[in-house]
Amino acid sequence: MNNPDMIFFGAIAPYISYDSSPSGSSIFQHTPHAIYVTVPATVVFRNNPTKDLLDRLTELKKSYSQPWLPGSSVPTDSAFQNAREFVSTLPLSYVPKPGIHVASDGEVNFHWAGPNFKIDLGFYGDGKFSYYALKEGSEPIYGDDIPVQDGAPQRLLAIASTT
Amino acid sequence: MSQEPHRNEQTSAAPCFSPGPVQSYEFVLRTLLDPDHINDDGTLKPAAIALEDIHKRGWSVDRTGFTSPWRIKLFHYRWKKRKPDIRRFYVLRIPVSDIRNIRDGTTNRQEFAVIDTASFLSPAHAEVLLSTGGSYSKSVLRSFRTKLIPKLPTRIELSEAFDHTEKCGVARGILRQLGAILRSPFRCLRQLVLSATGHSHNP
Repeated sequence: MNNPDMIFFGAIAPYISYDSSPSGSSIFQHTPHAIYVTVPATVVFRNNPTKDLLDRLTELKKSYSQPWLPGSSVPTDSAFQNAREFVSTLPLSYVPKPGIHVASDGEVNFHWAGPNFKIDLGFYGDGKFSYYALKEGSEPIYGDDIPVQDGAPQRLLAIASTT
Repeated sequence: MSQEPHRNEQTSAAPCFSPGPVQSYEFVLRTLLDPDHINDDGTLKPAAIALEDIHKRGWSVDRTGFTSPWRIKLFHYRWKKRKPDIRRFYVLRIPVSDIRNIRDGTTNRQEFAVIDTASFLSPAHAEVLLSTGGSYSKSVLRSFRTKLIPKLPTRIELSEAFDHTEKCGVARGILRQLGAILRSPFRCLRQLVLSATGHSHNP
């Protein structure tokens, strides 16, 4: 290994690497795969946006377990599962956390908004998602029937990361 | 197979129970649940408007001229019982003309309709939905929702939502409903039976 500070993770080496940066902090490169790391129970994560979003989904699933308004439908388990899978594809190191809410037709909705953009994206539990993105000065972007495991397209992430 | 909803604003969707088609000078009220529908900064979350509502089911509103604060409070009380984590209720007081003035940027076609969908003893009920039926992709429905939200007014308390002429709206609505029933009693009786057995467009 040329660089002793770089550790490759065996079989998944093409997808992830771990660098020790000169400042001493850690950089995890983005990966399309879920990675499970066991840490001591005493470790406190100060900033864990993925966990925050997964916790939010758990909270919503509990809160919307039965129809709450006349004519409303609760999201299916697969809608929540699709949303969880999607969260694991989000590069939250540079994309801010979306607002996550439930609509009365059973949609699990993700929403990003800034001074000059809006993104509306959601899941109905069919393994796919759709979105609409509007940014001032640009053509709107439409997306339908995108497999959840594909994650959000780059141009959508670029808008979401606009500050 | 789901029935295509009534989208023609010139004719009543519920001639037996409605005070008449919704006029552009009217106001309609929509209840918002906090925190479900409202962001911390007071803006509306997209999830406050279900895609299926603007597409086919209709986004439910009440015509201020034919309802009253106590009637809305009664609904709020029932919803709070069903969903105790609702922190608070607000309402949007929406000028019907604001909804009807949302136009397609290219064709200038009106995009949303406000339809009277009254049912027995609910004369104020109305719905907002796309003015043109047909099949829409989810992303296009999202674009309509994104367009509608900024046109809606700021949320207010229910106590601020009625002016002094509107406070007896329920009585006015019921009287107008009785008038509609008496004009065509047999047809309306049949409608009533159908709605009671769940076979009507208006439950």
